[in-house]
Order: sequence, then structure tokens, then C-alpha cells
Amino acid sequence: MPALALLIFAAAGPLIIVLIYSFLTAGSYGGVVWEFATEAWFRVLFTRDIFDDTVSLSDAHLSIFWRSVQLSFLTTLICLLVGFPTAYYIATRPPATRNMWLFFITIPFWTNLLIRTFAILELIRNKGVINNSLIGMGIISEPIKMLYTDLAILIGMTYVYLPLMVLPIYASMERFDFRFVEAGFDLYATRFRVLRKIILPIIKPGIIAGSILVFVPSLGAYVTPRILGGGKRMMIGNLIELQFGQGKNWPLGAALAVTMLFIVMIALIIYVRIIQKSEDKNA
Amino acid sequence: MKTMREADDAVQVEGVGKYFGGEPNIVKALDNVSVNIRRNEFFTLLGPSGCGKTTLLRLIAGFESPTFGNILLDDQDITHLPPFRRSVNTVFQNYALFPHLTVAENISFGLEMLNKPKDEIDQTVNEMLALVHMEELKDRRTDQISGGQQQRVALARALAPKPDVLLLDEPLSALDYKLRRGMQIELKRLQLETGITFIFVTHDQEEALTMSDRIAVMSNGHILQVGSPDEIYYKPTKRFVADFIGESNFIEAKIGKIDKRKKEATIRFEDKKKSFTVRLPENKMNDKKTAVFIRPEHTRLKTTTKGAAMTGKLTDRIFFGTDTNYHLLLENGEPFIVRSQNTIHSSFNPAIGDKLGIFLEEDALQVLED
Repeated sequence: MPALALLIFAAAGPLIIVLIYSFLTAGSYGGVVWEFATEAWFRVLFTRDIFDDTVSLSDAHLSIFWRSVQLSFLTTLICLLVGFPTAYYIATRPPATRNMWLFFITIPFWTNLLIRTFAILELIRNKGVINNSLIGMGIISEPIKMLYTDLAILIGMTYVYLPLMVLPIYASMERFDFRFVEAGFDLYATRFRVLRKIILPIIKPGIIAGSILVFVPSLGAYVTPRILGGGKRMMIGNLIELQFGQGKNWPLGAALAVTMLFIVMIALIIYVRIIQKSEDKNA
Repeated sequence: MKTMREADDAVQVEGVGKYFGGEPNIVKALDNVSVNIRRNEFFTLLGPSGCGKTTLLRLIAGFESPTFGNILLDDQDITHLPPFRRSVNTVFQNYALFPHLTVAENISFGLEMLNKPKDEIDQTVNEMLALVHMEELKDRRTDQISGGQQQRVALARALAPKPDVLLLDEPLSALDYKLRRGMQIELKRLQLETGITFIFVTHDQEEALTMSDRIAVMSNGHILQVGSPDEIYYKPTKRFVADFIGESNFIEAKIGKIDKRKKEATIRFEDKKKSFTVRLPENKMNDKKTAVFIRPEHTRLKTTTKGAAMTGKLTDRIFFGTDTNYHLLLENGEPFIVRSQNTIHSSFNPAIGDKLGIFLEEDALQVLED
């Protein structure tokens, strides 16, 4: 019982503090003033024109939300498309070499996130490895602009979160009994149908786990969009940081944080619904 | 080596070999194996672990391709066809029931893959459920039923697409004795009812004898003998076959007069006076002595040694309920087993260490090729 209480306190505590802060007033030099206000929540979605007080949707905020959801979704998708065959490949290697492959996949994890992100930066910047080799080989004459675009953030996040997709799928595949595949062939299923009707449904838990492990952190990514987006392409994480730093609007930062939580929950609910629907369809 | 084709062969295996690995560690799981399996028969591949019986089954199923040789199904060459193009279904040793589908869904899987119309699928699934007595459990998940029930679902799943041939890979090995016995009768009944050709793999010789129309005894990648249970038991052609099925005695005998025209010879054991006439195989026509084979139940023990074929010292008595096995040590040091049916009023009660006379049924004596 005490353990449970500690768990609830530790998990819910900070959340409750943030929730409370979102209903307070911003202090002039940062911090909060203990006065109830809904201004922060208003500012999440709307802005008031400074001249004539008209209310309109905050384009800046909306584009940041949209970019975050878009990039996280795309990151998850690409990680899935790359990670699934990777996990399949590793799981079908002879047992002795499997650990070696897993080791290779997780090596990036041993490096600091900052360094990993700078490595990508080095690869894609105008005078970076990719552009220099392409120009050197005469394939292009002008460098391709990759850095400081949404694409750069996408590349960075995919690189960073790929192991988190590969490992859970691999774990599911490793436990998968390939005799089910033989049984499928025996019962007249072609290779494609074996994949769709036997392999995928059984390793689904791995796919779900991997997707969640990529989507949720990438939604709140901060370092990667900062470095590869150049500060101009903000994601929710950057926006929140801004409020607690230069923006001097802690309540707004808190409100944005809670908003992000809502977006994650909604995304998860939608995701689980889709899974359940496909389950009912296959049954 | 091609075997003669008969009009009613379901499966023909022609000179098939399956090698794994390469020189110098090559493993010859099957080495030039040929056999014809007839339509509607219950055919068993019998042998110890590693003899190649499961490999042969997998080649017929299509999970692997032979290194050389051909396999024909109903006179069609299926040697390199994938499993989903062969009208052959398998009951796996571990059942391999799909865990994410219910009992009914497992059974209907093959039919769905064949794109059969829905009402046909429903009807067949119900038939199958009735056939294996699993109607009540049709919506259960497969990890919620017992081993014996899983086995029946695996059977129904393989029978539902009405294949030409059903392959069974030691399907009863995970069941306890009573269940196993019951399933043996069930399987035999099913085979007779459906008329499907069954190819059954087992290492249990008793199972093979009770269920099969014909048995192929295998060892080390070769088929040693193919025949009915009777033939295999009473007329084994090789020592391995005689030894693997039932119990056997092999004793050294001296060859006396050889009649090359009748292909017979007189033999005698342990310099005793009693002699026997046996058929002699070609390769032994010029031998002076040979090993002779006789089953324990075709021998008798008496307390007197007068007129006996051999004498032996009793070393053990093993009680089997219906029979008793008497273990003896012959004068030349060889072991010998006599098996007698137990009767209620028996005066025969020798003690360990007693010297007893062993009497043999002449017709049961055989000299094998090897």
C-alpha cells in the first residue's frame, strides 16, 4: 500500500502541479503569481490582436501543433517501415549472430543524444558529408538544402528512435514460432497471406509497443528539432521551453504541456481503436 | 532406383535423397529412398530418432526440397512445388494451432485460403467439429483447451480441406497412455471413414503394428523393409528390422548340410544333437556358421534338458501380466529370452540360477541376410 501511494504521488504529483500552474497568472519576470486566470488556456489556441483586440486562432501555435503531430506520425511510420524488416532480418539470423546484430542496432544508444543529433547535422548540412560527396562525384553542382527543414527533423528523429521500434518488434518475432508459417503454407496460404494473416496478428503487440515508444517521445522532442530545425521550426517541446525561458509565461508553458498530454492520449485512443477495429475485422 | 508404378498409388517417392551441410560434415538425412504409398491406405514410417522419417514426411509435405530424386502425387511431379500447391495437409507434432484464432477459425483456415464460399466453409467446419467431437468448444481460443483437444483440432484443421493425403508427424507422442490408445482407435476409424491416404510417422513400434496397413521401417536415412505388420513382424528381412520390432533372439548356430537346390540347411546350436532345417539366404550358402533369429514367444522352457536345442541358466524373470519373460544366459555366454503366456495353474516355477532346457519352434527360426 505505501508503495502504491508513493507511485501515485510521484506520477501524479508533478502533473497536478503543472495543471495548477496553468490556471495561474504569469509573473513579469517569469515565475507565477498566485491569481486564478484562464488566460494561459486561451493563449494555447487563440491570440488577441494587440491593436484592436480581435480574437483569432493562433496560427503560430497551430502550425507548431500540426508540425509536431505530422513529424511524430511520419517518424513512427518510417521507423515501422524500416524497423519491421530489420527486426525480421535479425530474428531469422542464426542464434549465435543475433546478439551481434542487436548490438549494432543499439550502439547509437550508447552515445549522448546531443552527439547523435550533431552527427546527423554533420551529414546533412550544406557543407556536410552527403552534399560534399555528391558534389565531389559530380552528381549535383549545388548543395541540396536539407538542414533546418522539417525533413532534417524527420531524419534526426528517425535515427534517434529507430532502435526503440526495432527492439520490441524483434522481441515479438523472436518468440514467434516459425512452425506457424509452415502450418500456414500447408493450409494453402501464399507468402503474402502468411504475413498478413499469421505473422502480423501474432507479433502485433511488438508493433504496438514499438509504435508507442516512438510516437510519444517524438511528440515531445526538444533537442532534435532545436538543433536540426535551427530554432525556426519549432515543435511543441520547443514551444513549451520558450514559455519557461524567454517567453516568461509559465502558465502558458504549463497549459501547453497539458495540451500535449491530451494530444498523446487522443492519439493513443485512436491508435488502439484502429487496432481493435482491424482485430474485429479479421476475426 | 524406380519402383514399379501401380495404378492405385497415391504417393511415389523415387530415389530421393536429402543432404544437409557440405563436405566433410555432410549429413545424409535420406539416402536414395524409394517407396510407393497406395491410395486409401494407412501407411506408417517407423524408425528411431534420426532415421529420416520426419525428413521424408517434410519432403512429401513440401516444406523442404530433396537434394535429388522425385516425388509424385497421383502421378503428378510435385517435387519442387511449394506446400500451398500440394493437395497434402499435415498434423504437426506440436499441433501448431494458430494462437490468435479460435478453434473454429483454425479449422476453417485452409478453406478460407482456398477461397471457398462462406456457406461451404461453415458446413465443412461443423462437419469437422462433429467428426472430432469438439462442437462445444468451437469458439474457444486454442490455448484454453487441453492437449488431447488441441490434437483433435489439429486433425480437424488438416482434414477440413479434404486433401488427397494426410501427413501425421508423431501426433500422439505428447499424450498420456490412455488418451493415446483412444486416439489410435479414433485415427484408424477416421482413416477408414474418410478414405484419405494417411502417412503416419512414429518411433513406437506397437503403434505402428496396431494401426497400419503397411509399415516402412527406416534407419539412418534408408528404408530397410516395407510390408504389412504381419510381414514385418514374422518375416523381417534385416537384423535391424527384427530387432526394432518386438523382441528378438539372435544366436550363433553351426551350419551342417547345405541343400543348394532347396536353399535350405541344417543347423545346430551349442554342439547339441538336436538339429533344425532352415531356409538359407544366397549370401550364406558357403558359410560354416551363422546368426539365427527367433522371437521369444516361439520358444519354450522346460526343467529337463533332454532333446533341447540349447541349455541356459536363468538370470531373471519379468512379469508382464499376460506373459512372463525369462532371461537366460547360454553356455557360450550369449543372452536369450523366452516368453511364455501365464496360466493360473502352472507348476513351472524355476529359480534364478537353475539350468533349463530351451525348446524352439522350427518354423519360427530364420536366417537373415545380414
